[in-house]
Amino acid sequence: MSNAEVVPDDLLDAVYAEQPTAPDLAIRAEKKTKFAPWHHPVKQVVRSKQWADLTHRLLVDSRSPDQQKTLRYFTLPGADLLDVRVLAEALAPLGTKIEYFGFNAAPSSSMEGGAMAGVPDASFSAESALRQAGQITNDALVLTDRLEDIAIPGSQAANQLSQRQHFDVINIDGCDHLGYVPNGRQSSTFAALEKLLGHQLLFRKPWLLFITTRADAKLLGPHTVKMQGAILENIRDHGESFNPALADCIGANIATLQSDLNAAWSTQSDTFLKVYSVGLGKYLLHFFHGQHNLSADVELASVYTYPIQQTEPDMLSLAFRIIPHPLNVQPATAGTTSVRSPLEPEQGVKLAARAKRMWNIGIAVNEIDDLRSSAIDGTKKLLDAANYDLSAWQDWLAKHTTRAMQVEI
Amino acid sequence: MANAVEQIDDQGKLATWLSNPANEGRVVRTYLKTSDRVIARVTDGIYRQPSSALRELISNAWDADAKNVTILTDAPRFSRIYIRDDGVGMSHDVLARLLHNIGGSAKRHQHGRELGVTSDWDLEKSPGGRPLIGKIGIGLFSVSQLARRFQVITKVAGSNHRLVAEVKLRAYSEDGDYNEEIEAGDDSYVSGIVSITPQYTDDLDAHGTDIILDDVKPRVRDLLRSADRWRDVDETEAALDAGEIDSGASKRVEAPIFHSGWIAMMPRQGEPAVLDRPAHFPWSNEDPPEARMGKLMDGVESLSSSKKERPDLASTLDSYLEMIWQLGLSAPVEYVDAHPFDLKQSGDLRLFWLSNESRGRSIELPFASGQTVRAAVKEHSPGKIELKEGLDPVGGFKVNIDGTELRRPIRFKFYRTERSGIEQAMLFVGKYAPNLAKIPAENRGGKLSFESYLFWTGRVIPKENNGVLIRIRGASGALFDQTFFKYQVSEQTRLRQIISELFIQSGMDAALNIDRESFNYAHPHVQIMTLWLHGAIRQLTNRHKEESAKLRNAARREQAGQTTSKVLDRAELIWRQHRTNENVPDIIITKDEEEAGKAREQGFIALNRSSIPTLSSSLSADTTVREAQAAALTTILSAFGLLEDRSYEEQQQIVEAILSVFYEQ
Repeated sequence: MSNAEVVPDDLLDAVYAEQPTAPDLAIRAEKKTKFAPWHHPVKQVVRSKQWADLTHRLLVDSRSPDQQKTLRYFTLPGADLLDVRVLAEALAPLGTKIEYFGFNAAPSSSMEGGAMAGVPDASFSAESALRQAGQITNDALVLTDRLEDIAIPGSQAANQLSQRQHFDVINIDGCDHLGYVPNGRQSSTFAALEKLLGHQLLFRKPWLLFITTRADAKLLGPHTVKMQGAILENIRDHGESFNPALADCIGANIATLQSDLNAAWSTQSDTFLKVYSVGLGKYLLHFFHGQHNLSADVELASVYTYPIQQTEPDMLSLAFRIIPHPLNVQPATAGTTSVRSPLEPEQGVKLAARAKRMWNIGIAVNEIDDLRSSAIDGTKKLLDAANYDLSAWQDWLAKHTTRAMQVEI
Repeated sequence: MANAVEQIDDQGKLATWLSNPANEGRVVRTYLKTSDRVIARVTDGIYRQPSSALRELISNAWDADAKNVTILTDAPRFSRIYIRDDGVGMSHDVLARLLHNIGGSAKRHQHGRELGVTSDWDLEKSPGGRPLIGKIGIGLFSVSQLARRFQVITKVAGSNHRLVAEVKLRAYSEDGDYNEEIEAGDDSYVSGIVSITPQYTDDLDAHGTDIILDDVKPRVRDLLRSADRWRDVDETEAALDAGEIDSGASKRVEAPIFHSGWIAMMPRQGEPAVLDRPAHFPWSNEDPPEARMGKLMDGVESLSSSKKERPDLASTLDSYLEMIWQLGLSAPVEYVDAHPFDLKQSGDLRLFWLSNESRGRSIELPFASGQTVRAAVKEHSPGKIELKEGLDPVGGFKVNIDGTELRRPIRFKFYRTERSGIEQAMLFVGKYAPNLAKIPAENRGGKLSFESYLFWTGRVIPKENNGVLIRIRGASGALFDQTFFKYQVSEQTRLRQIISELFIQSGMDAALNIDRESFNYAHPHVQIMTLWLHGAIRQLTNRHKEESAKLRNAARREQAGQTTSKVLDRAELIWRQHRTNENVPDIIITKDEEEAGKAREQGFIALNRSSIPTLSSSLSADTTVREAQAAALTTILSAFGLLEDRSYEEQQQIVEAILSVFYEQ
């Protein structure tokens, strides 16, 4: 028996214990052969047509050349930084560097995090490549916390967020629905969204909010009540202008709008997806309208949908443009009651009109040749740069259970 | 299935393999090795603090002509550390050489030219013309101080590939329980294993180096997050709450005033991390990076009127902020406000030129309003000297840590410590370049030249900025040496009032020990530099004594005929017996803390009556007597140095404790 001194394990842990780290480089350097929904060309349509195009437009339309130099971007990037790569390429003509901040804790928290399940550092070389090429700033940082943790008071995630300035673009690219509460947590993705809205309140320039979410009529969390309530309030207060727009959006009859609305929330269909989009938009409008002197308009810039778990579309990619109002100077006679504009009826009508034009990109990518070929080429380029095995990707797409696709490589 | 990993331990073959496009996506393994046992030991860590490793990496980035270095941590968790620079990067040849010749840096050698790490025209300079800081070739391995495993991702401009290397270092052992040396198959000492893969890219312009530490050693994390200190604070507060200890005992453990927050229980993987104490930075989120070091200094300085005469970093800052401070001191970056040679005359500074003669005397230089020190020296110094230090010929170098741009945290402010003392700061500037030609080359130790300043002010804040700091090629590993290289003359008060830096322009490198934090005192350059420094201090103190004496005599004439109490007379007598050349301090009793703070700024030693029950509870008839006794007592305690470096609160507690012996409450 050894006569070595017996040292309690906690002392040894204090010195030798290591965090879980990535597999060896030899394993990480292999071509990747596991694919996830966001490797499908349909997702490339979202990245390119929605995120990149709208972001480019935001910078051109509402930022000075000097302000275009840096895009402050909140993201939930996966290990491969696919969204960042697409944005970087789209913004290169403007000379924009992306200063991203975000979280990538576990595969399920992020659309792109699954391919290298449990590998916290696979993004390092992708990140370095972008940085050394001058496409992201030196401050770009992804933390290993969960997005939902920013809703926990005093959490490290909230602490780090609070040290950041406002973002030009917030991209909540989730796999799950907004009411999702991860294991071991008590706060949902929706609670995190509310924290982010609070973080942005003092920002007085237009900014973009991208939300990608499962939208399943059977998986509606408590937050849906807020969305439904926002619609009902508009029906109650501004029915005259809002109700026809909403009825038109969801194909309902004005006379039976209430019951048609109730039905829309309970059945998975395009109507459900549209009412969900209007509900989320109305909730955002309510939020910003309620901020008295920090109010903002909310525009629904585009709505894309596609199927992911079912044959019917069940994913929504929503792009909102938030346009802060100028300071509202209160008259001296207002006393303790602030004078507020009426509840955003015009904005609500526009939301419904835009939601009506929801684009099913699952269908479009099959029917529109140019769209399909650009989506395939874009995905292929991204996956190649991220060290994926393209022939394995070709097989995966060909055998896809719900969205099979033949591609040339 | 994993690729078969090839092992290549020949430097030339490794470089060739890495440069071959056919090897894209493949991984090669090689031993990190050295033929020197001492160097093998060095790669396991030789520094006392985690910040030293970051200092070395910043120096490497400087040598690589980087303009920007960014260090990111997730303080106060410190689970990952990134060090990113936009320097020239490492080619396959440079990386292969580095891994197989630890401690055999190509910098400052002919071979460095071939590798592109040294200027074509001056071996002492970087390709971009900066004076090279590094010379040994162990800087990268200083990371072993922080983590056993790290990644290096590097690319040079013009190359069609970047190199991704994963370094795993072994813990050094002398007991033979690890036989990697044998596996190496030669006489080398193996310090670790490196896996490398080349990643090809069509982006030829990209360049820079990223170092990523994703498994920081647990004990290092504890050091960075001040874990031992916070645990003591938590335990003390809990004991106080439970009534288990008295409040006096609790004062021995104080929470830092400015800090990055505290997570008492580090969460297990997958659990949320929650701060038990939120961060309290001296800056706000809106403060730009370049303003934050200034805010950090403001925060520390602000405590001098409310907490302690000379606030110290150790009790004011947590380890993280102290690390930022120390890196700011050591890195070749700008000053928080202005370089001492670029200070402008605004009426509160006198300028002197230091003599290089062994018993020389400083010369006061005319210093016109709005003129810079540099300009005044050029115009009025003997020989019309043009000071070079502070003129950066190779462009800016910026280091940013978590949103704070490093600046040298040294300010040149005048603080009054005597009400009737010297009313201006004094800056002594000098330059020394001895002619060593007559010394045999083997004894000379090379050329030596430096510029220097000694700044006198009534109070150096923070305490740690007192002393002399030696900068070699703009960088410093050592902090301020408060002994001034063992200056022996008993000038304790004046020495505590001096900030000095020596800017070495040639020489001294060989005198720097391998950790770059200490010097070989036997080296002739250190001995010459020390003698010069001691002469400069003597010139400063002599000048200061003369000025003080004039003021003291004037004050005595003014006070002649004034009646003071016997106890104060007695206290002054004791003071003069112990502090011959120093003015008797002015003591004032104030009604509250605010008034005390103001009085301290004017040079008084202030006692706040309301904090001394023996004074505040006395009947009005006794008040004058007791206050005179308190002032006399304070004078005597100061004469013996018993109040030095104690907080104002502690000073008042001492006075109260003594008075209470005589005046029962």
